[in-house]
Amino acid sequence: MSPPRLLLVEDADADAEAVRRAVVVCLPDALLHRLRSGREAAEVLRSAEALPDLVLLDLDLPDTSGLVFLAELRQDPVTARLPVVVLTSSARQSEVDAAYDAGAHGFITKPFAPADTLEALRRVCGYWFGPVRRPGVRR
Amino acid sequence: MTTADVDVPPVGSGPDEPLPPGTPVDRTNCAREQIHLTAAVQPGSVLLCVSAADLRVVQSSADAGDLFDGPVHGRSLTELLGAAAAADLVAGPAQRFHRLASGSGRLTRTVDAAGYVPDPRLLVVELEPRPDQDDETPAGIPAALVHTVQQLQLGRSVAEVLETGVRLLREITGYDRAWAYRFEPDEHGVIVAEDAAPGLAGFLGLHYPAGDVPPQARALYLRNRVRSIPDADADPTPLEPPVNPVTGGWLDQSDGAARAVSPVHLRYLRNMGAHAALSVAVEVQGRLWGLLSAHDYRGPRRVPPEVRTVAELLGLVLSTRVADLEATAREAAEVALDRHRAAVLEGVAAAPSVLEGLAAAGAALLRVCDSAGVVVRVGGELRLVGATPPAMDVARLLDWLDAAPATGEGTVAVADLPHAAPSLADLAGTASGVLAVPLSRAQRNWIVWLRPEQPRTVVWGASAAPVVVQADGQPRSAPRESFERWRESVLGRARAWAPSELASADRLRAGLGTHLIARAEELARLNARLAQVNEELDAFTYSAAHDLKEPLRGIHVYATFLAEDYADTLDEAGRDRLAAILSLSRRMGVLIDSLLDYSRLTGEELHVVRLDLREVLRSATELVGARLEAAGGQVLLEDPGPPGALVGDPDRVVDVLANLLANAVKYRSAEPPVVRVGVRPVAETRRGPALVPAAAAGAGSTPAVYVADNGIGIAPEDQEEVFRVFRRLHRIDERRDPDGGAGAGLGVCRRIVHRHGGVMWVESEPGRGATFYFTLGP
Repeated sequence: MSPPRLLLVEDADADAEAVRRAVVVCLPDALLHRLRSGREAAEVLRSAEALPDLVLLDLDLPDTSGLVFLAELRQDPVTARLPVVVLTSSARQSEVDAAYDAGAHGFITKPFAPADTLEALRRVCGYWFGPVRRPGVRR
Repeated sequence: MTTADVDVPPVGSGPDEPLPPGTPVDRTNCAREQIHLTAAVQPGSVLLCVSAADLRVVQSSADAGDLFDGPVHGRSLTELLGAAAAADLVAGPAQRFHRLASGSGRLTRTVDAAGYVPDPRLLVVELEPRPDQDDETPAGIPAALVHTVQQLQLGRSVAEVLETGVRLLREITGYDRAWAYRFEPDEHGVIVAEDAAPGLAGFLGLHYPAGDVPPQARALYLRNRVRSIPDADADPTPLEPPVNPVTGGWLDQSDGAARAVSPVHLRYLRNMGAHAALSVAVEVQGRLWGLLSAHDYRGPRRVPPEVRTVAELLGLVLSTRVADLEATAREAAEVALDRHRAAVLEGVAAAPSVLEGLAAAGAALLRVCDSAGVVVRVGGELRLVGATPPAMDVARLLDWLDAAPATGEGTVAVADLPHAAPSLADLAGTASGVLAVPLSRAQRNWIVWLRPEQPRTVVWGASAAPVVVQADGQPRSAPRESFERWRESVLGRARAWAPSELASADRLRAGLGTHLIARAEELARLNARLAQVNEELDAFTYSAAHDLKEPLRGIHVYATFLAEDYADTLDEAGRDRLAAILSLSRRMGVLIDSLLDYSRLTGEELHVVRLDLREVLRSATELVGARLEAAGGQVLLEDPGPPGALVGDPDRVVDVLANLLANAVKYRSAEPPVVRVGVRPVAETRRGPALVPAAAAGAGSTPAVYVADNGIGIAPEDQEEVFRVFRRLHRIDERRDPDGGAGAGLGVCRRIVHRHGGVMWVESEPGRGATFYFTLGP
């Protein structure tokens, strides 16, 4: 079985570092690819040989908003089913709802302490890389 | 009705009904005497009543035959007075009177004849014999008419015109004394002008009771303006027969000059010492303003019809002059009041509030109603201007006004407060006169003008005569047996409010109404703007907090990794400082979260549905479950209330309940926390009725949800403080409560409740737990 592949779209280095450290702990053999912007991520996904198994997406991105990027992913048949979990700083119900409307599979408000980030990722990864069967990829 | 009564016209005799003619009259019943139906004429006058159909005499004064060649009954007017005179009289009152020479018809004396029609079926002719030595036509009469009108035109004030009037009346009648008598608003009379022969003056300013000129006499004066009583000492001449055979009723002598005088009035005159009297009506705006009265003390004195005509003219011209002069004075007063009112309204328009504008108007506000003091209450705020009672006493006055029955526009005007409200008699010194206009009766807003007591002495020219019970048990009193003067001190009475002042107060109220409406609109606009600014502020707070959180999280994350990765390379002091950074950034994160929670509410819409307290409490309990379990606590739902009693946004209500449950754990006493939750009517809570007006009024209101804990309680002085954002009352051990203590929790809860239109409060005694209450609607 190939190692789990995760794509993190996150512009803040500190947050990215917190996620990286958490993933190392809860999925030690995973490959984590981090990109800083939605445009960069869209390009990579378009040209990549293989799609990631799970996308962790921040909504506050420097170029396009995470929601626009997510909506575009869902428009493209190749990435329409791609599991995406939003990991952002907002806690507003309206933003949570908007994320689900755009096609998110989950929504996590960024924890303040790295320990809580680890706990959150342990649960997310435990779900997506545990008993759950992920959608197939259309090529 | 028995057959014996048939001849007598039915006239009631109840306590308020008119007396049947012929009933003995005294002071106890004279107000009910039908003075126009008296079946008699004054001595010296002869009355002939003929049927309109055939001009034959059907009723006459008993002595009518003396003027003719024998009894008159059944004879025709044409025969008795001559064809020409009869035709003139039948034709109508083209002339006031007709001079008929002796020998005309069957007349044995020269007479003045005047006719009137008391009933379409009848014609009445009154005959007054001329004195034996008579100058045919008094040459002075036309000159007297011109003189009268001229003189009255000269008067420049009501007082001057009245002075002239009494002088002229005395000249015309040749009587000893003439008075101008004015009826006051309460109908009692006062002598306002006098012209008298030497030794007979000195009545000016005297007051006489209203009963001296009873209402039916006043009504007759408006119809028949001159009343001449040439001989107060002689008995009247009865009509024969007493009841008119054509109408079957009493002859109506309202329009006659010869009508007999009420025995009460005759005794009144005799007791006064007068032997003859003549009165002329002064009518202003349809009301009997007063009388010009002349009396003669020397003996009976006849005033012939031509002179009575001059007196009538005098009355008419004087009435017109008085009406004009009073109107001019009233207009001048109104112009002055208008000016003061305009100044007040101008000030109010420029003032920050109606209340302040009125208070600042000062003297102008007093002058709007020519008062000495003014009280203004708007929105519960009181301002006193000029001479008023102290604020505490003013409150009693306003309470009385609030309770006063509302009439029309709700204006209350009294000139004798101590009599109108005996409990306020102690305020007479500054508030005997009260003129109050409500700006809004519902909001108990008033402008009240005050006038001080005006102590004065009224000198009565006569006292109300005592009613004497006679031997036969009938009350009987003489009319005005005593004309002894007596002095009455009038206390607790201010100068009366003039109609122009009442109108001025009303117009000020109308003017202010416009201002109040404009201000209400301005207030609504400002409120809307304030709400918008508040929302903008919340949005700003939210985004500012959100942006601050981002770098702070970065600091915290890096500090955490620094501590993890480099703990070994740091010395003890370095590790301590790193721990401090972690702790401080964590605390700052909590503060920012509180700001986010608090400001986030504004942007979020409420999703209001019917709530089941069981369900929202279960969700809330799950949220704090771990902390609750750790503390060994339990939550008891005592009374979920009737289904549908609660309506609100379930997520927000869960937030509130979770916050309260978390607090119950956080601020627990030595005992394990026990939290009781339920629904209770606001009226059954201690502080609720003061916060929910509907509950205080006994009307239905949304019930309160209570969350009662057994914790350490809250001191009374902190019971409002706990709801303030970022106020923490207890320094919680960070290890026991690592993420608590920002203190925004209850502030957020109250905000959620407010957004539902409800209120939130706490009732507690230190050491005995706290009970939080909240409602989800008004």
